[in-house]
Amino acid sequence: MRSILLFGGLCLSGLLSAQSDFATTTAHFGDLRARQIGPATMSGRVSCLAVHPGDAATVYIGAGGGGVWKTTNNGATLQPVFDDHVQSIGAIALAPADPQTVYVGTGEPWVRNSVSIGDGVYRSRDGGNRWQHIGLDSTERIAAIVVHPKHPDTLYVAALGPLWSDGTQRGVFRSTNGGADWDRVLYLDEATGAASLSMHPEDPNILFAAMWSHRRYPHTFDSGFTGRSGLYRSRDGGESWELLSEGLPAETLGRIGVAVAPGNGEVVYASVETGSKETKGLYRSEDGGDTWSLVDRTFPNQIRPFYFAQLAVDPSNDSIVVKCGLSAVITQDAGNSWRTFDQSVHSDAHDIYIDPADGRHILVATDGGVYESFDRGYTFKMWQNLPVSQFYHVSVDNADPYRIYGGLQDNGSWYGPSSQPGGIQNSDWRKTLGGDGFYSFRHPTQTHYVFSEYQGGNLARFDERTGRAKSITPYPDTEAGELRFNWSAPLHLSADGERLYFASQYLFLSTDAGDSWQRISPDLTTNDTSLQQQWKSGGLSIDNSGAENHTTVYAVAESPSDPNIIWAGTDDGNLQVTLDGGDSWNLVNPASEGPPQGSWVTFIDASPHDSRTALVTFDNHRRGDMATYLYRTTDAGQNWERLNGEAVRGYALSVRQDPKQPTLLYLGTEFGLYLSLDGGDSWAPFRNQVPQVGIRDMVIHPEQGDLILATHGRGVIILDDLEALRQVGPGLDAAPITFLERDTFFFSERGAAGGNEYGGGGMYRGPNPSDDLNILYYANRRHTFGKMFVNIYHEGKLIRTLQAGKGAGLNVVSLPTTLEKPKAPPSDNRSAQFGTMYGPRLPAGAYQVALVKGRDTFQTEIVLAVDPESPYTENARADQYALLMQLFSDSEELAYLHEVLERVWKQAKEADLSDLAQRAAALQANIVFTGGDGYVDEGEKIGEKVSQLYSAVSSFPGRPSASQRTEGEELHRQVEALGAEVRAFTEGLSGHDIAIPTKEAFLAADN
Amino acid sequence: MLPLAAQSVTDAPPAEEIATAYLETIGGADAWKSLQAYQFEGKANMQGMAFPLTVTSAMGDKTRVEMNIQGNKMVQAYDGTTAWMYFPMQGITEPKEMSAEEAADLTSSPFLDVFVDTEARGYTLENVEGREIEGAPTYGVRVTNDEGFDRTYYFDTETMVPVMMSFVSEGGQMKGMTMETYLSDYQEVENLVVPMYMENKMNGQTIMSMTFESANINPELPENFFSKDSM
Repeated sequence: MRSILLFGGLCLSGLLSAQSDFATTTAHFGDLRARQIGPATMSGRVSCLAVHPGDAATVYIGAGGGGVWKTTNNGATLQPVFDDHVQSIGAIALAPADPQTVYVGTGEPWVRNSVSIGDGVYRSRDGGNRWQHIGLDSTERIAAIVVHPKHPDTLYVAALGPLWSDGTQRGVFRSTNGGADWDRVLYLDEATGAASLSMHPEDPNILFAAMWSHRRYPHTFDSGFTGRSGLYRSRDGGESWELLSEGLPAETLGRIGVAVAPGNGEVVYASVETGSKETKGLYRSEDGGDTWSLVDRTFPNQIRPFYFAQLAVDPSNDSIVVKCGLSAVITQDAGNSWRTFDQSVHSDAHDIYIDPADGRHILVATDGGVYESFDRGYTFKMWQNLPVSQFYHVSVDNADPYRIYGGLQDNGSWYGPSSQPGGIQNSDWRKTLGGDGFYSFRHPTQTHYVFSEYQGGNLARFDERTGRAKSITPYPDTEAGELRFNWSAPLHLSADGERLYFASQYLFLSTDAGDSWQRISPDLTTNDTSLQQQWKSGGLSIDNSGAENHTTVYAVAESPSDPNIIWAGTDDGNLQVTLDGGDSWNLVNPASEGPPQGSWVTFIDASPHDSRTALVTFDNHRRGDMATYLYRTTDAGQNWERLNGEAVRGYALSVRQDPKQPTLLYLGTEFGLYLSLDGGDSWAPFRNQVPQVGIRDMVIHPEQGDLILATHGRGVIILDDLEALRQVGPGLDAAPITFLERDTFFFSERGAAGGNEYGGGGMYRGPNPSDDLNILYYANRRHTFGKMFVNIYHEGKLIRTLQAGKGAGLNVVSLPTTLEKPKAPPSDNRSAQFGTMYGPRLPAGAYQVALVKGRDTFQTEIVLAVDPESPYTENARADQYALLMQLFSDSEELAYLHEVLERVWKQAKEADLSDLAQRAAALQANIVFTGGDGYVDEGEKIGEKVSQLYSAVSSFPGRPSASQRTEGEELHRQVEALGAEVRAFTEGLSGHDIAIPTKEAFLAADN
Repeated sequence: MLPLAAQSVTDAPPAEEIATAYLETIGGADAWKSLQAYQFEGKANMQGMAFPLTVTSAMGDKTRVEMNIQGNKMVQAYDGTTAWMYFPMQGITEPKEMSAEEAADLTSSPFLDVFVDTEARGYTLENVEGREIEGAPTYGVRVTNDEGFDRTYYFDTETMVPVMMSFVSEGGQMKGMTMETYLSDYQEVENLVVPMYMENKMNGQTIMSMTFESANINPELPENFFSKDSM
């Protein structure tokens, strides 16, 4: 008795120590993979382009938040090539002398207040396959890179530097050894960075650099700032610089874009920001920068300099210039007259490429992707396969398959399916509202309503029945005063659709789908009037877009289990909660180890398990603090615990607790997705198909158990089926293999018909979830030596051998829900060849899984079932299965007969029994068609007929048609007759020494 | 489980030591040098379908890959000078020479393991940063030569066999893309230790995987086995 107790005690202590040693690692997630579904319909902000100097079809695309993409075929296919690194891209440059050498500067230079951050410069020596980080870590953003025309290792980098704080790593940097060492060759002060850089086409020692003094604060922007902006020129490769002034405005300057004409180094253009409409505009120099004159100050050359500064000069004509802007504009007479590019191009152009070999060929990078013109900008085609869409928020509905809703930077509000026959295509997405989009929800009971908003608190209820949207924005009551809405005003819909919340500085509640509102809070912000200066934001150029509206509510969450508990967080640092439906509010910011005062409350996850538990993210990056702030309370905000792990990188943007497994937490930061398997004690990045992109929102589908991420640069990413992750945690490492439980698997009834498969290249298609049954197991280490495979048994019979996942952590082995394909006689008829390519569906029922690993076997059972809601009844399925299996066996019988006759023919020929050989050949000729051209000169015999009927019956899970059943009987009769004939023939061979395989041996062998 | 970290270059043994340890594990350089040819049979998995596969290689960098798709043959081969293919299902009903670009990945794989007599054969080894491969920490060794051979092998730090090999595809649709071949199920075949499972991935997605069920060392082969006139 004593020893038993002791034994139990030992086990317990072992378990406890295993738990305390546990730390979440990426290896735990194994080969669980997310799926990037785009969309590319509206694409997203592209900050820069770089084109191969000798091959205009090879283009590198740098996205504001979606990484680097490459095409070698002019956009027919685009591949992300930078997914292991930060996704905010500022500049890309190819070395002219060796275009396989590519430099990427991270951190976008178009500094709206939603802009992401970078971490320095990277270099690839092999055209973008492998990247090496080469320094300038603290630059935060890179505006331009130019590479010496003859020396791929000599480059200049325009480092814009930190946006929200002082920083000394800004200005112009030079390296002459490929980035191993850097010299800061032009530096003015801690607030002034290099915003543009251009090199003389013939003399690489001559460089122009635009220095820009600027600063963002959470509530305002200042272009001009310390007053040190200016245009500089070096004539000695960056050793010394002179400030250019002759003909340029003699006043405080802001952002400048500079471009030397690639075809004539004496001609230089500069777009110059000043505080005056008289002097702001495009300047031109014809003497290599010595003197300048203002050539245009119309709207396109004055608009939003912080966001649009880039210029491009046609390499073959120095009078042709394109200026980026709200729309890009082009002059063909050195700035005298201007034409706006094709208005079907998305607004907000950031970069331009003009083909040196043909100036009519132009690429433009916009807030809505990349467009291409072949007529100098009169018309453009969009590249519709660049899924760099920037979602702010995401939600899902209860449809089957469920749909995904969200709003995007400068791209409105959309919804699209989570799966679609043939893949999720651009045309599957529907727009519900324009402008910038943020939160969007479908009403769960009045399902024709979709709530969407655009910036400034403009809330609308879209009615799918008519396609019309009704404005449902709340208005202030007499006591409230003017409403202050955040750029991304928080909207929250209770799961039952009964309560809709919307917030300015106040929280509003509607119980009639937005037709009327009740204000249920006082001003929840600090109401610090010094932070309410949107109207004068911008510095030299007023930029009152609403993006800097401050002292507003930014996050709202109702407890899923108690509608009286409502959380609200503000952009000026207040975290408030009401426990009585809004009658009283408590300021509950974490005190000890709390975030710096005034940090944005970016996300609140009211626990699905406990009404008084919540997870909250704070973000202080807009004051130059990039730390991760994540907190948990279990007592409605009285006490807080900080949950950050060492592995987490990036300021925090969103967080969720799994609704089924309370210890499974999901955290989205500016640098991707992090998971904790132990309730927040330890964290690890999840990287399988989730790049280091900002994740601003996430939702877990209540029925499907999928995690849906709103990324600000890579569209929607779905991690299907969280049930495996829910089972991984402390204790699993004890056994070499642990099978994970899974719900009963229903056959997918999804057909393949739907999308257009002949759209050619250039269109995005998001992948569907797998239809296979996933066998899930956890391995405590990677398998390297010895066999490892999975056998599947049904009713004692081995039906399949599958390749096993070999990695440590979670492994997913897909069991196709079909049997092995039937053997078929070798036909030259093409459609017959494909006809028997797929096996019939597995019957419903229990299957035994045996995982063989070296000398050990691990076993489990899985269940396949017919969805009770399937339109195909059990009886209909049984009929289909019966006919299909008859055709299956007929196909195998024909394959066998063909092989028998082949053997007889060969042996008879070798033995000079020509009569016998001829009879064998004649009989064999009845089975399949041979010869022809495999296309339009084809014949059909019994083999082809069986194959084609098999194909037709197998592709539909319901009852076969009467015609099919009759045809099946007829074919079966013919196969039997042929079999009898062949067997009679072979029985007559007994006098000859001819070997014939048994059918069993034939069927057991590989083809 | 303790957090597994990839090995930085400075932590790793010199590449030559890794190569030596690896060769010992797989049977020794002499055994590999005396090898004339081998033939592996197994299954290739592509897009959820499995096809019988035979891979045969012989001295002189000859190789022949043969697949059986529903009774129909697909052959790709290189006889040391000419690469060719035969694929009736795609209308190639007579053996057809492949262009240098199409054949690049087929012709650029030496028969003898690059870690045997590496230096004498003109290869250079270089330590590169290891990566965590499927949960296993690894040492990275990059192998290059003057003719453009450039592959990086990731050796399991514990067993000293490569668990992944990475290279940039030189031809066909995958040209310019990084291909990764994952290796496991190392087994002994007549004193040689060889990976019986290989999985090719691009961008993390599996393109094809191969499980070999049998291996034949120094099989007897017809003289023209690798050339077009074998068909």
